[in-house]
Amino acid sequence: MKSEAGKQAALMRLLDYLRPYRWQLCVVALCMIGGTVCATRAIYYMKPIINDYVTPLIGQADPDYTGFFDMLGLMALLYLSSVASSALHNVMMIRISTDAMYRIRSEMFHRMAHFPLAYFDTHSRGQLMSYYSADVDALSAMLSRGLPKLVEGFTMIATILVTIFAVDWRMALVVTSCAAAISLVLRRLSRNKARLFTAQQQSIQDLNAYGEEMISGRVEIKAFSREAAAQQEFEARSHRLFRHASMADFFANSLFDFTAGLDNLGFAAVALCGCLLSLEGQSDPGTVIVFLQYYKNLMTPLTRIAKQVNSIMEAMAGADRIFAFLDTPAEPDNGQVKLVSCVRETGGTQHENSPSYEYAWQLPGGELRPCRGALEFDRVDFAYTPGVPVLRGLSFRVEPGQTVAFVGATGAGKTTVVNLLSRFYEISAGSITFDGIDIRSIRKTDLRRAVSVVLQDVHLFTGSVADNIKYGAPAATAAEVQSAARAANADYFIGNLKDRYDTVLAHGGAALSQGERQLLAVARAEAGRKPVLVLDEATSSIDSLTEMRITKGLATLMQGKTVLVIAHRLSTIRKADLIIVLEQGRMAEKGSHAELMEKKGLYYSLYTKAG
Amino acid sequence: MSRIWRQLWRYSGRHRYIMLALPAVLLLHVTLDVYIPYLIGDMMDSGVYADDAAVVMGQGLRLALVGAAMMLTGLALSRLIAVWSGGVTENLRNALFARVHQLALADTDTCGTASILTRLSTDMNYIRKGLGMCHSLLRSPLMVTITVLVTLTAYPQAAWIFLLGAGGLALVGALVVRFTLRHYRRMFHCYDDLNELLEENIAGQKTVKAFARETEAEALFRQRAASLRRETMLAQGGAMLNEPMLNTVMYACILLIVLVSARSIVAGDMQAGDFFCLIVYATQILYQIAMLTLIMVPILNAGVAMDRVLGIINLPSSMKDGEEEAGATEDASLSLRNASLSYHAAGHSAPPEGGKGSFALQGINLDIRPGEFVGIIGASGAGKTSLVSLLLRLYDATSGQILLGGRDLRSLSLASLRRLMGFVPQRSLLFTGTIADNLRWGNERATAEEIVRAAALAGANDFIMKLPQGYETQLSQGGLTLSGGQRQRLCIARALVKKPKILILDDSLSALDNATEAAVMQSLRGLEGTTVLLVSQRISSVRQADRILVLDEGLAEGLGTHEELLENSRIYREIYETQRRTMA
Repeated sequence: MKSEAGKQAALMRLLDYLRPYRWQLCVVALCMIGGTVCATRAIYYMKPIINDYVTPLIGQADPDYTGFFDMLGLMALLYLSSVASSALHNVMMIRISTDAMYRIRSEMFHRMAHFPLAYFDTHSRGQLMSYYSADVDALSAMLSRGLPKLVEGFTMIATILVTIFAVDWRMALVVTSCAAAISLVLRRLSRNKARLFTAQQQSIQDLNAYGEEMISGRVEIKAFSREAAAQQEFEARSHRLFRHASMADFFANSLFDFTAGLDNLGFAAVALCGCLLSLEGQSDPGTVIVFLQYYKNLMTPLTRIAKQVNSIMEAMAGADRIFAFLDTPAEPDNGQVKLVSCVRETGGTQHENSPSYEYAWQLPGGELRPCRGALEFDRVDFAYTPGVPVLRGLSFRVEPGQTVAFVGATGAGKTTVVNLLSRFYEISAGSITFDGIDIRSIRKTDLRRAVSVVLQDVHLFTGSVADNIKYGAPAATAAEVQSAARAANADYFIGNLKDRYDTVLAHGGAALSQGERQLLAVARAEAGRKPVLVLDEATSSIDSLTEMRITKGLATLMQGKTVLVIAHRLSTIRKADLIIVLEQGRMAEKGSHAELMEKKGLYYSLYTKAG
Repeated sequence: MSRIWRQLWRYSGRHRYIMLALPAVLLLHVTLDVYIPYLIGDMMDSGVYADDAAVVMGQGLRLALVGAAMMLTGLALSRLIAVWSGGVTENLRNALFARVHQLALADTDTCGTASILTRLSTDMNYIRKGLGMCHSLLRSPLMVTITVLVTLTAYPQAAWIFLLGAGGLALVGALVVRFTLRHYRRMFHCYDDLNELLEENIAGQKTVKAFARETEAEALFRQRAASLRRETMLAQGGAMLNEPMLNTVMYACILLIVLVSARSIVAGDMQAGDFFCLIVYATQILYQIAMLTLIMVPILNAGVAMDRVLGIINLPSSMKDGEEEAGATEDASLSLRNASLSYHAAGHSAPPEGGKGSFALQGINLDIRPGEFVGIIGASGAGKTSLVSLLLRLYDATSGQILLGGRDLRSLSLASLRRLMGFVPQRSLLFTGTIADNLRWGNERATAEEIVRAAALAGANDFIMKLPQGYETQLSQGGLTLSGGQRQRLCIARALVKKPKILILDDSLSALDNATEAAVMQSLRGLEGTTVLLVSQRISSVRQADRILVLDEGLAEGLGTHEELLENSRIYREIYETQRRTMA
């Protein structure tokens, strides 16, 4: 259960989001209050109509209805005002709430883009997505329906109380005590609601998480004949949800129906009192009728408020989750150094493939240092989970333009090296420098822009093939896109696609084979023309025929760049300028292929098992 | 409409009695509700105006009893509807989940995982909320009918007002429903789009960060969020205007009733108590009709959702399960006789390989003897995974036959067939649970020793034992915290726990370094009597095979031993040359 202070804090933050609309909200509030007051007051006029303008006319031969029509006209006017303001504030409120939700969602996405990668490792996709949809929706419902109904309810109650006490305090007391008694009962019963709703939400999450895994893995389920086991587990969770949901629903419904029943008892009590008082001559049927109407109108907002408290509680629980999400600390990024592209001055040697611009680091103070791709790891320690070290005091240096291959048994730390280079995770000891600059002083986006990657798991995005290739270089021209595809040897299969480069890859390129996806990823990395290229198991899913085609292009791709290669394919490793052999997070051997083969050490044994 | 009720009856399961009990309780509840204003009116006319205290007290007592009875019926109604709506939804959910796994892959591929998940979660929610309003759906007409009957008999002069009011409400309701429903549909589309973008970005966070595309991703997100905002505004705005419009109709009716009643009272046809009844009944009727329009939208949404869900549940399976059992002592020889597979032929979409040409496999002939080690090699898109899918009967061949022990796969039961086969898919997907749980996918009842043995064969035992909790280590989200090679070995172990007669590995050694791969292959070769099919792109993996099948663009280009293929197969030679050049 959240503390009162916690609830207050969430409420305050919510109000912050509504701050830009404060003038509109004032108008809305005025309309709400004004409209409710009008509609409520109109009922009162039935009393004078019956008592003063109708009853006296009974039995008259030629009754004078003028007074009657005046009163009726007044009622009509009040009703009209009420409807007009109601329409106005409803429309305004919807606009405000949808706009506020848009801003909250945008902010969530904005912050999420800077969350450390570790956050995504520990939070399930389904969970995160439900923040954006279910929780934001509940908040929206609260703003557009819950809160306005609450305000209207309170206004109605206030107006009614003022009116009835002015007319007849004894009847008013009867009405008020009935209403108060029922509200107390309501309150007592409502306390259990929050608990039931939380349980329900938890069941929903459990069920959805399981459902997602099992549906995504339906091939595995078929292959291992796990249908029965999966069904059993699913039905168990489904049944838990049934229990929690039906409890929560029953509770919410019964509150409504039960109070309707109590309400009728109160109705009866008011009628009885009124009639008894009338018998004594202390009251009259006109008054009784009006009081009965007001009683009904008093109970409606009270039960409505009870119902709205449901949705408000759901919404606030969601708001808590949203704010917790927003508060997730972003990746630390205090770097000041930026990456800029400069026009190369004429003169000096040029590769035929290098562009007319070059990248450079802009240090704070304006000094420019060419970005050449010199990397150094100095006694780096790192663990994904504390207590399970992956890298221990790793030190090595890569000169600009070198192709370095990382070799080692699986789990030795190869992928970790490139993860750390791009600062996807923070090291616990030591330092990593890029062209002599500690990567922690470089702005994260700029650091990553200096490195092109081809990762083990290829993620393509819904969009055209050309869009995907341009992903890292949005300014690339169509010609540059095509030459990147050619260099990666992806152009031959793109040419066979329906719309070639404009073919839209739906569902993240699900229709392509693993190999084709990797080719696109290589093309994507090439389009960037960045000084450092990382190939992480990049050709593991590519057959050697295709790989051979790329290899020729790879030589061009790798020219003028620092390349870090992680592969099991010895074909790529063999040609590297420097091979670093990792074992248990430390550098065990380093040298060229020939040198290491001579040593007949770890590399030699890894290599000769290849046959 | 009746079709929906029949489906609801069907999926009510053990809660069917509620569909009968509810209307009965509702009838009682509503009758009591209508009785109350009558008693009060009588209290006034026969009691107050007649100056008769006994009548007043008598009616008062009756009122108390009626009120108490209504509380009980109210509680009963709440319980019944909550249990029923939850129960129907539960049964639908279970049926949907079951059907998804019963259907052939070809059938569910057209839908897509995301769409199925939406149906399982969002649509179910709408169904439950909609069903929860069903008793209001019944209560309103019931209440209106009874009230109208009472009113028309007692106060015929006011009948026309009710007709007018009802007509007005119906008009308003119809307009609102038409407008909002259209925009609600569009709103759901916007939602789908937004969620798809969100999913891509969350799953591909590393790529987004690696290419520093956060700003662009955000711009796209804003765009979609803005579309959502627009459609939501229109849909919800329309729904909101419902209330003021309904109120207008109601107020107009009230004013008319006051007018009509005034004249009647003056003429002596009515008394104040009658007037009171009239007002209460009128507001009652109008309110109930208004309620009907208010709940129409959620109920219609529920109807749409139910159609979507039933759409999958009632989908006919394109694959028929066989009748005969493939026994454990079965002759485990596999044959493909002129087998072809085209994903497009049967209207399938999103095939696992390529997209070029319409046939993923054409006219494949292959006989695999029990205990043989067969390699399958070819370029990406050549048809290797398709071949594997056919053997596992994940897809049916478009033409030709697949035989197990001389019997057509289609005549064998899927369960018994898959019990004989151990499959290691290309993607190494693990599930939330401990490592031991994942390995037990191969065999629920495997003992600890069997699990460890399988893990050792797959070369996984070493690294598992190094983890702080060993086999009880929890894996989350598909085992992302393990390296690619570790996941692959776990998937191999999972298949080995099954003790399959036929083991199929679809490029499952790609993430392993040469030393580990050699060790695993050695263990697999050592399995007595187990047929091993290894799909790979590396000659080094398949060269030891008894025979190797070379695939090229869906066709069998060569079949034989490593030496034979070097002589006879151009493609094999090419692959060999490129890979050989990399060796000393």
